[in-house]
Amino acid sequence: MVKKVSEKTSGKRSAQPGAKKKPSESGKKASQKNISENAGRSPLKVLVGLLKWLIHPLALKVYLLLVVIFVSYVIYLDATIRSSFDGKKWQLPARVYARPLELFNGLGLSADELVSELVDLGYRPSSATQPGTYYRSGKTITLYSRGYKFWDGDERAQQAQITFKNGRIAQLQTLTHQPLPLLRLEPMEIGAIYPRHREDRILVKIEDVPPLLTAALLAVEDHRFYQHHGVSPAAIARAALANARSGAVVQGGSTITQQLVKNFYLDRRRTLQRKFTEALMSLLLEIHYEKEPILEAYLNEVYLGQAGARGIHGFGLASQHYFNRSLHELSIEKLALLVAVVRGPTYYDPWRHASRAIDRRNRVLDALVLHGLLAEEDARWARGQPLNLGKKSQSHFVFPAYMDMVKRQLAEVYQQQDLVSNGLKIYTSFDPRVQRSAERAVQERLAKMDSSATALSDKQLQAAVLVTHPATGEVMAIVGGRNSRYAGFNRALDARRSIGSVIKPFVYLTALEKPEQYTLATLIDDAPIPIKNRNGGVWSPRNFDRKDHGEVPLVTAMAKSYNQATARLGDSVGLDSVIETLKEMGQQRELLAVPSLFIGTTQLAPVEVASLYQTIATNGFRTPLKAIRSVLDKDGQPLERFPYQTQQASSLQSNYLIQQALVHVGKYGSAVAASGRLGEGTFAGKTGTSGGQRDSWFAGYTGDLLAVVWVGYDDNTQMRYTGSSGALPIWSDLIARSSKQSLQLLAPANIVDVWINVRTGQRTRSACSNAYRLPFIEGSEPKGSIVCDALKESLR
Amino acid sequence: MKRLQSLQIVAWGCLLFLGACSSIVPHERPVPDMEIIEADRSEEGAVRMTIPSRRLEGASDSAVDQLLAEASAAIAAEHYERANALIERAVRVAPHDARAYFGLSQVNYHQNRVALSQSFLQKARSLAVNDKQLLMAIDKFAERLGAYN
Repeated sequence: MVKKVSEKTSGKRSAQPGAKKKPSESGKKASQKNISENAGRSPLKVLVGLLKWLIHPLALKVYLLLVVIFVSYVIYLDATIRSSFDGKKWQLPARVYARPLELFNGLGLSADELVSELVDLGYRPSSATQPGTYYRSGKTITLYSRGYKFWDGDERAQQAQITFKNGRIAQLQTLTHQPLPLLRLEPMEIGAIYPRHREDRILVKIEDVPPLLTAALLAVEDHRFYQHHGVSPAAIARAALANARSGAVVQGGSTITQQLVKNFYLDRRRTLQRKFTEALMSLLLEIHYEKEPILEAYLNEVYLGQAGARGIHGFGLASQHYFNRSLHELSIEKLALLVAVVRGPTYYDPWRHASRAIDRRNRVLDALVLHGLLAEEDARWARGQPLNLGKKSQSHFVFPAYMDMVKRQLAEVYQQQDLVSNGLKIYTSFDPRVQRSAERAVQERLAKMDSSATALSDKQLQAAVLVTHPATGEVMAIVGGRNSRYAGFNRALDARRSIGSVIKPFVYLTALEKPEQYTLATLIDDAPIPIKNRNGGVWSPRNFDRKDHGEVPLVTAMAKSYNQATARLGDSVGLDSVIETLKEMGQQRELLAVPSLFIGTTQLAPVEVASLYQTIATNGFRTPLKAIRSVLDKDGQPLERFPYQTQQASSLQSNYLIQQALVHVGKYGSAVAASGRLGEGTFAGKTGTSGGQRDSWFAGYTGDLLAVVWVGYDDNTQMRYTGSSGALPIWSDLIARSSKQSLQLLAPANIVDVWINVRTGQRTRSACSNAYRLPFIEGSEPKGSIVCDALKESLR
Repeated sequence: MKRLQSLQIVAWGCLLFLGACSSIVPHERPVPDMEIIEADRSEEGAVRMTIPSRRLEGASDSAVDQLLAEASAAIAAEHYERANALIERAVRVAPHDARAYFGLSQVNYHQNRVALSQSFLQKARSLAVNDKQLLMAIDKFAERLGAYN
């Protein structure tokens, strides 16, 4: 009845609030009376009737209910704001850094290499009068370091002059020519572990932000920021007028606070409800917080670009993203560009739309002049500047194999949630120069092997490289496959392949641990040997060249990688003893106890091989491999350190002997090809070729690098290459480019050198043919008389 | 605690006053030319000692000296993790400098990592093979630790 009357009288009135509500009985009668009376009354009477209805007790209850709902909503919004604004505002990715480059006299580093490192760090060539700059004059580089907060203390920004000579730092001094013992540069960021939404930011504090940046931002985006209370009715009216005139949305009326609320708490829908909530939350935010924290939050929250899947948020990261330097190093026009990008990071993308970006930047400069914040003369200069963007960041995700190892080590200590939200700073031993050398060596050599007419397959060969420091076990570089940018199967860590003769030093070491029975000169018969398996079968290895070499000294058998002699030696010392040696030297997984282990049918990953050779290189001290040095929290406070650890695994003397035998591999054995390039006696190492030539290995080290290289096909098919022709050339390339220090072995106590005929194992003189000077553990040297069959050819 | 302090004094005294002469001479290589430097001045007069003019790895003596001196101060202040980090830097600068491993042995001892302390002591000893003074200091520390028992 009510509906019917109202429809007749006012058409759409039925849609009004309250029209559909069922009133109480008395109210119903009153309403019916009023409405039916209103039908034929004057407008004044209708208004009076309406007012009566509005103050009706029922209506008052409805109002009260609405007020309660509204207040509850406000309380909810208030709690939302305070809970997230007071606490941690953002999920911050864990950042991963390379080793910091330490400069000191004698360091193997050329001027070109230092410049390359400085460029990677975003240093720019100039007069070196500001942090983050350098100046090069011939073989002298003057730089102004940035300073950095490290685990062990702050490294202050300082000026230094570095003079180079013969690929080394000859002099490191201050600009006043005072000797400078050490100078540590800040580490390069090599990657990050992001939250799922892939937002990235570097937090800045407002006091660290250049005042001109905030001035420009407010001048352009919200020049009444310090006057309004979160919402600016004047700005909204002005924007509405401008939009109405143009017939499109050409101007926004949102304050900085509203923009922050929108980005921080709300979605991007353009609805009235969202706008209402945004205004309400802005007011609440301004009630609770001062202007400065709101502005600081905005500076860190605002979206300013995209780098692949990674969102660039906040001015701190945007400065690095666009200019490869920190905010306080930016000049006027660069600060103005960052502010310009706020309006539309895609539309004003300076890389893709340079002219648009320049126009917008100049408008920001105009606004600064208009508000009296910048002199016209300075603005004119700034308008004339090109964009001068930095090198587009390549550092993220470009070292996936190394990052893989970092993540695995982190997973032992941290939850995934900590890694993607707490802004941890992870410091590693990654060396970008060594990494690039390794990648280049793999790419160039594999390309040559692919193009080789003798290749047996049209499939692509794969390779893996793992490089450590031979003294500390710190992992410096990892190549997981021929496409080093591809974050797929990490062969360096996960490809378990037969290691071939790479295992032999551990068989020989097992023997040398018994000096009363074995020395490097002990003769071993290289005749065929049948060995019984534990399952009753017989295994009889053959030499690679299918020849028997008779009795040979142990050092020759290893240098020439004779299978028959090695199997005989292994059989003599015992399979269990050899496996025990491998465990002592760092092998963690259980190995299959079969005699063919003596010549390397055992399947190991390159990282496992590196772990074993690491122990040899560190004079018999087992040193676990590690990629991470330390972890700091987002404020630079120390959280976790991964200290250097070591434990003696073999005797100093026997380990020294095996190292000398590995030097012989390069001098006279299967790695002699590398000696031609690197110099005789400059390295120690061992080749390895698996049965059927499915795997090519080389594991070796110099004074400052230990590298393991594997080459083969993923499907384990045969290839043309041996350890000498496949992995060794890659290893040699890497070492030739990156190693700055030849191997220099220190003889431990109780070692004596004796000249030995390597054909017979007997004592001889240096002038005699086949004479080599070999080390012996004191008391184990051959005691027989000196025999000299013939003089060396050069002395005849 | 007193035992710890006396160990610390003895060890670092040895390390700083004697350890600097860790002459690492490669096997089969001539002993490098020696130069005399003034290392410390006591009330009785200058204490003079020798260090090799050229280290095996060509690293800067002053760089290692500075790091070890900072580590010594950190140990005195009982900031062992910092000391550990500083000595590890010294190892990276000069991987064959026995003093650094001797320092790691002591820091780890202070951190109650006795087994690791002994391992570093063995390592230091293996590298100080031609430095009798440092060897004496190492052996003295080892004796107190019971490292060779």
